Amino acid sequence: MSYAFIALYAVLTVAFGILPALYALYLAFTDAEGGFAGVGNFTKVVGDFRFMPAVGHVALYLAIWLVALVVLVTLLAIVVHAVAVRWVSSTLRLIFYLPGALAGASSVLLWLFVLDPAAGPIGGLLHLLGFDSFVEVIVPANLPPIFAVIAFWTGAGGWIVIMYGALNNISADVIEAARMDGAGRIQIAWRIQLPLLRKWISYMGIMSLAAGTQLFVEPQLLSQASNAIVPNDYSLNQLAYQYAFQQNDFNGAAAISLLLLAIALALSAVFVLRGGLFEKD
Amino acid sequence: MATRTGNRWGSPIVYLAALLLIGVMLGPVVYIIVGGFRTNSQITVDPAGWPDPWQIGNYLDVLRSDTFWRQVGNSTIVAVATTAGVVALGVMASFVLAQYTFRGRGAMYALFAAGLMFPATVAITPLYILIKDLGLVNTLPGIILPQIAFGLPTTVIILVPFLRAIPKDIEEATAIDGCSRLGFFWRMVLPLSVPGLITVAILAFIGSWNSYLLPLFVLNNQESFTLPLGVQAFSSQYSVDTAKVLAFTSLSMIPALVFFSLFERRIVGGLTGAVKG
Repeated sequence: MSYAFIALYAVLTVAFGILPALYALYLAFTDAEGGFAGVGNFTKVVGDFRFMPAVGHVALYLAIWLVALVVLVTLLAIVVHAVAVRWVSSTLRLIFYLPGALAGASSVLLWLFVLDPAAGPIGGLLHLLGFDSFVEVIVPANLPPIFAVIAFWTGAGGWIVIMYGALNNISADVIEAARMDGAGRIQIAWRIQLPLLRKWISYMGIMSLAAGTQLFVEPQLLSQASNAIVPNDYSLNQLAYQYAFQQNDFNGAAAISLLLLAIALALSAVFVLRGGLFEKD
Repeated sequence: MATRTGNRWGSPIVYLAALLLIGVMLGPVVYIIVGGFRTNSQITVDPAGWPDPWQIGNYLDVLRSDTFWRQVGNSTIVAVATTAGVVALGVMASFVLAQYTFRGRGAMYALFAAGLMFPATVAITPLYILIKDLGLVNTLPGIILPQIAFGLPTTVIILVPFLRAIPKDIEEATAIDGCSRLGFFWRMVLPLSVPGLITVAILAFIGSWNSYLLPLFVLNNQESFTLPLGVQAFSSQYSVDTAKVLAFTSLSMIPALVFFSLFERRIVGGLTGAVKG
């Protein structure tokens, strides 16, 4: 029965996960006629004038977002955990978590309005900062922080909740002992809570890194909303999309996907090896 | 929790920071919903103002349009079918992984861990080709089936610790009473795991409701659009009518927001359970 129960899951995973991945592998190493192309597709996409800028965009976005995520989520989780009044703490968690309901397209569309100096609620602030129109807000230099804000807004709450759970798992005796020894709140956070959270922080970092390399929805929607002021080949995934649907070059698109997959797999190997999260205790 | 000495409420700076953050977190949502009650001229005159007077015309226009309801229908079908598939297949796979040892279980776990990391976008182009070959382009099953596959790793990771908590003794007791493994699953495991199932169901539903990438690839005609595609099409079509776009956007977000708030405790409980796993 064990195998029968897993069979349906396995069929779907093979059909929609493994098979497409293998197909991508085949496409990446063949040309449009189906002949073997060696690394031709890879040299073609890497040599594309749009490739390196896209790598740069994604890397910059990741750097800003990951640092903000790790620092702020850890800090907020410890703060929310330190709030002794129960309903305040649970209300805070709900509010931080709520934007997660809008992950995906909604959050991007929502932020497009918020960041419009002519229509948004923080128009005054944007004018003060010297932005007088939406076009000035979405100049290329501003995009990585904007995408980081959107990603943080929707994603941080879920991680705060997870970190909060991990903090609850720290034995009260340990904290009490530290307090007896004269440790203040900040010392407890720094010397006890932080080291015990490390596993979760690295888990969050790696998961977010893998998800972040796939940046697509934010720049894609922004590109459409801004009539292509934001280029439609801003991120690597968008470039793959361009290859497939504008240039009809599925082989090139597969090559980009495969490069991204290699990164994701390398990261997931790190995660499985050092995380040990799914072992039975 | 240990009793704290000193001020029970803690430092005021903490609360100030928390308040500021609440503004950042809730402000945009409130702005979109309230903005839909204003007219375009009100928005132009004072972008950050309150509606004066409140206008419900924008919302009524959207609620009277067939396009909106067709997209709501499509999104609902996709979300409900995805949720049903994810929950049914997820609980079966999790049950086996949690309760039995068999060859390849470690490999299955590694697969789930990798599945969590494996972003749908990596293989999206070949996936599209596959869906096209199956004749599912522009159909809702073309989204539902892959979404079920993509939703399963998260489901399994959340459900396994949940099911593991069911004591082995119960199964032995039911076996002595003449209950088969299938009977045990049906009569004991399913009822006991309802809270966990609700968690994964909500997550699957909301994930599907907001899904943008897969529909973008698979659905090319307006008739089959789900809400995220519809909102985007609507906002480019009516880009000058800000108030109406705000109304459309907020109406499209409401189901996910409501579900999320109603079941927040369950979702959080499920996530925390997975952490303890």
